[in-house]
Amino acid sequence: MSATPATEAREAAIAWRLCLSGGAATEADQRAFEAWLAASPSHQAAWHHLEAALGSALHAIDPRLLSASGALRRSLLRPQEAQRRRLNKLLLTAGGLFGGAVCLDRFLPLTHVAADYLTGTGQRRTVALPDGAIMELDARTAASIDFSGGRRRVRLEAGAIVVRLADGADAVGGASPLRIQTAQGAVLPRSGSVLVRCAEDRSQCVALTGQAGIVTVGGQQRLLAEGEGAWFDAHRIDPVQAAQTHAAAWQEGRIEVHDEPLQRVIDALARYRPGWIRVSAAASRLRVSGLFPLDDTERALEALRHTQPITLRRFGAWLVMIDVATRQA
Amino acid sequence: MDSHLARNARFASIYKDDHPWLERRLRDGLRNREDAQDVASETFTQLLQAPALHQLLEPRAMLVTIARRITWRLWRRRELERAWLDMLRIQPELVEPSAESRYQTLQALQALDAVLEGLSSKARMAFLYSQLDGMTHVDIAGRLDVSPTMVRKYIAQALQRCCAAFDA
Repeated sequence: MSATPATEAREAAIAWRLCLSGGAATEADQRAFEAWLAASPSHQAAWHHLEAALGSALHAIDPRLLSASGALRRSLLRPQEAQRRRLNKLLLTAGGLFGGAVCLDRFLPLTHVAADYLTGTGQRRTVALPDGAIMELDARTAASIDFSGGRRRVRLEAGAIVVRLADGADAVGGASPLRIQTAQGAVLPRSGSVLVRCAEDRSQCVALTGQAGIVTVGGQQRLLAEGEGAWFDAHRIDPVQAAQTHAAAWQEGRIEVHDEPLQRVIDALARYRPGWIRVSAAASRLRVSGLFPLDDTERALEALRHTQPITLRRFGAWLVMIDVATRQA
Repeated sequence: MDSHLARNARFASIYKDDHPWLERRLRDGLRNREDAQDVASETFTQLLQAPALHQLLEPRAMLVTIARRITWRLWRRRELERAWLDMLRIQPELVEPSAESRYQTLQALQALDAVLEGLSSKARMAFLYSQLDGMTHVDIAGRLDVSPTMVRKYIAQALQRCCAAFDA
C-alpha cells in the first residue's frame, strides 16, 4: 500500500523537526523549511499536528519535574524488562509474587531486606533472642543478630528497638555482654531494658530500667543511669537527659514528647503511615509537648493541627504538607 | 438487533463464568484484594467494548490480555506517582496549588510514559535529551555511544509515537 499524502507530510514534518532541532541546521536549511511549509496547506497542517502532539506529550509537564537527574526522569527511562516478565507471569502462576517492589517499598524499608528482623510501616514486632532476652521492634525497623561463638550482638540498621535482658543474664559469668551496634557506636545494657534508636546519622540510647553504657565508634564512653537517655554520633555524646523513658511509648502505640521539635513527632508518625508527610523548615522547629496516637495517625495529625499554629494541606492520600500558619494581622 | 442481543447474552455468560476466576487469579497474583477487584471490573468494562464479542472463542485468553494491560498501567501509575512525590519532596515549590492541575500533571506523566513505552531505552534517552535538554544530535550520539544517524532514527521513532498517541 502506498503512503497516504497525510503520512508523507507527517514524515516530512518529522524530518524537518529533526533537521532544525539537531544542532546543525544552516540558514539554507531554514529557508528550505520555510519553502516547504509554504508549499502546501497539508504541510502546514502536518507541522502543526506534530507540534501539538509533541506539546501534549511533553509540555503539559513542568520541565523542572523532568530534570535529567531526577526521580521522574529515571522512572521514565528505567528498563522495564523485569517488570514485564513479572507481568507475563501474572495470571499464569496461581501464587505469583506481586511484582510491585515499587509499591512495596512504601511499606517496608527495602534497603534492609537482608536483615534478620524487619518491620514495615505501622508494624511492631516482638522476638525472643537466643539468650532469652526479648527484643521489640518499632515500625520501619531493621535489625540483625549474631549469637555465634559466644557472641551476643544485635545490629540495628534502621528504626528502634527495646531489648529486655533475660533475668540474671547480666550475671552470667564468662559470656560476653550483649552489644547493640548502630552505625555510630554500641550500646551495652548492664541489666533491665534499654531503648536504642537509629536516626539518619545519630543514635539514641535510653536506659529504661537498669543501667546501660554507650561506646561511640570514636571511643567516647558514658554510663547511663536508669531513666537517662542521650543521643550520640560517632564522635560525640550529647548531654545526658533525665526522665527519658517516654521515648519507649511507641511500645504502647503512642508517642510522647516534652518540648521537642515538631519534626520528631512527624518522624514518628511517618513510621506508622504510608506516603509522605513534608514539614516546612519553619514548622519543623516548633516545640511540641503532648501524647499522640501512632496507630491512628489521622487523629494525631488533627490533634497537632488543633494545638499548633500550623496548616495542613493534603495532596491525595500520599502527601501531607505542614507549614506554619500565617497570621492575619 | 439480534446481534446486539447475542452480544449481551455472550457478555453475561462470560461475566458469570469467568469473573470469579479472574478476580481470584488477580488476587493471588497481585496480593491485594482491592486492586484485584478494580482490575477485574475494569477488565470487564473493556471487554464490553471489544468488537465481535459474540464470536469470541477463548474469553479467558482475552481477559488475561486485557487484565495484564490494566495491571501494567496500574503499576506504572504508582511508580510515576512515587517518583513525582520524590521530586516534590526535594522541590516543594513544584507542588501545584489545585487538585485539578496535580491530576493533570499525573495524567500527562502517564501519557508520556505510554509514548515512551514501546521504545528502546536508548531511544527514550535520545528523545528526552533532545526535546527536554536541548542537546544536539552529535552530543547525544556521544553520550549514548551510537552514531548521529542512529540518534535521528531514535528521535524520529519517538516523534512518530507522539503523533500516534495524539491521534488516538
